[in-house]
Amino acid sequence: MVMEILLISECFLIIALVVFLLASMRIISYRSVSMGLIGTSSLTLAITLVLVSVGTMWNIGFFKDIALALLLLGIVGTIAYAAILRRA
Amino acid sequence: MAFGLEGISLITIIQSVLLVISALLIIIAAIGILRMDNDMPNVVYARIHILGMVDVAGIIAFIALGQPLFALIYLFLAPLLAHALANGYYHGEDDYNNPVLNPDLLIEDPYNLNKDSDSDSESDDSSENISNLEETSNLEENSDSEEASDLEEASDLKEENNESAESGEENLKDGEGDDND
Repeated sequence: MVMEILLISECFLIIALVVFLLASMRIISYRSVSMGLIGTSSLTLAITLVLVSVGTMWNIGFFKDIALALLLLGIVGTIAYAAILRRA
Repeated sequence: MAFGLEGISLITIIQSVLLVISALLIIIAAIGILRMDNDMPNVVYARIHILGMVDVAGIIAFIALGQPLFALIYLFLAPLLAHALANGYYHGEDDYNNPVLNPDLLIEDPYNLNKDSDSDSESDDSSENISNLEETSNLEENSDSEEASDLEEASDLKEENNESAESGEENLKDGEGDDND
């Protein structure tokens, strides 16, 4: 019972993140560059959360490392591309 | 502990509640993003604003999953990201608010940037308007004493106009006759 309530809530979070992944993919499919950037940043956050939650559920260590690298590099890359969009 | 939660630590319950709250926030944000009309003005800023709620939900989820480093990093990077996206969109693609990309937004000229090109015509118009205003003010001041003379002048002007109109009609008739010849 101790693990079940946490496991159920993590599964609920993963389902919500899958829904949000679909929504962010819909945002990416718009034609403008800024909408693509917004969708990419939200997709990065969603994948990071999925990796962390899955790594916590099944005790997979390197998922957290991948999630950390994805979080840092994804956000920094999005900020850099937004700066390029500003100057273009 | 009551409600069938015996043997469960308080930390686990708080973690579960935080995860459920963050999941609900994420679902609400996803529905809000998909329901938003694309033809609405400033829809990009609205979507960035909605994603701010997802950022907060992600920070809550990171804390509940026992990853405070992720939460701290994202707490500092999320506002930078949102501001960079909004700034890039404003200077790069925003035709609705940015007057550089859409010069039709400059309806008025608050700094008189086009002063040199329109200065001559504006000055002539303004001097004419001022002289007209002075004339009307003088007429109003002297209107009481000169009402009778004005009426006589008006009647004379009407007679002259009638005579000139009749002569003009006769000239037109003559001209039409010449053209026909």
